Amino acid sequence: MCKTFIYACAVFYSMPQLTEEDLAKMSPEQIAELQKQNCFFCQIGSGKAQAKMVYEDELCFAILDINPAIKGHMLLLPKEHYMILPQIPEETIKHLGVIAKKLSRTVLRALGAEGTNIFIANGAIAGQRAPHLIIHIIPRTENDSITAFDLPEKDIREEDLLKLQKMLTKKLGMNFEPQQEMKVQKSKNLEEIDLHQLRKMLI
Amino acid sequence: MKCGECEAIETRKHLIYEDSIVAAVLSSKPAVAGALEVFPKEHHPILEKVPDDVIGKMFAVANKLAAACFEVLGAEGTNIVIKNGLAAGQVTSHMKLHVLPRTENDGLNLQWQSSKANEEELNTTQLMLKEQLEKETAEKAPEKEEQKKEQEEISEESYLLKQLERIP
Repeated sequence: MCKTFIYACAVFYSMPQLTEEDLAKMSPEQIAELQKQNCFFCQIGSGKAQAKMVYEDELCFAILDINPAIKGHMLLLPKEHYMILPQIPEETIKHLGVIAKKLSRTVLRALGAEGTNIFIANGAIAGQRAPHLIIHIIPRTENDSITAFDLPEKDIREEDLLKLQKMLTKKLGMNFEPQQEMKVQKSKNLEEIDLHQLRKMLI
Repeated sequence: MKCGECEAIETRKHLIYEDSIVAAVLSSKPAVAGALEVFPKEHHPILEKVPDDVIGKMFAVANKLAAACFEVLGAEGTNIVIKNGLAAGQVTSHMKLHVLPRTENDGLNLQWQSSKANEEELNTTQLMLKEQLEKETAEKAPEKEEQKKEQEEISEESYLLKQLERIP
């Protein structure tokens, strides 16, 4: 899934010694290994580089951003090297969510924040700057100067919404309703068996 | 007045995903076309009120939806945003997570102004956060000990009961 996207990311996160062709020849595992070696955040996670560590467990760690949007801006990262969210195993994603909630509560209590923004960017176009997935936890107060999360509210035609709904549910239906998928697979298998039996009979 | 998110679950309007714990809809006032909202089916106002397993599920579903955005909507990137609390820009009383499919030149800019922090301030902040985290784990720890004690008592009790049963 989104293999080309991962290649595009790898190219974007400047590995100048490699051409796109080189990358295309490499397996995703090889690319991941190469990136891990060059990744600053992996070095923090393994203790080789210094950072203002706030939280650590076996799956993830949180550090203070040295170029924060505001005081208390934290970065939560998986210890394993993943570039984007879809590469991360589901159990790790769940854990990251739980820890993000925990850190959000901590920052509310410790720094007297009045709210928090939790922010993930998947891909350079979405504003991702590092080749290691980062969950930003940004404490907010009523009169701070952060405007990045004031999302515009645009109008959209009902028919466009229905079109999008149809496209997405169709896609998600395939992913999320395994029973249906199994039925399809079963019927395929049955056909195969029938064909096989037929061939045998013919011989 | 009924909460908009709770109503969406009932009426299934613009619903694109649902399981026993979370639901997702297409945003009717989207920041970009195909903007999605994931929320717990149970009504919780803020992140801190949502149980851990539900939060985990929300993130897992958000990831699945983001993957679907790549494939179905041709997104070239995705953002996942939580606005937790009025000060963070939350506008509804039902906690939710935004999934935004991104394309080049979509006009959305979610970048903040960052400034270099001074070492001293970073150290104090680190200390304050760590102290708070330790306090929280310390608050939780006695509960566990109590549970253990209870369990020990129960096992002792059952041992006593068994002994009693042996007496002819």
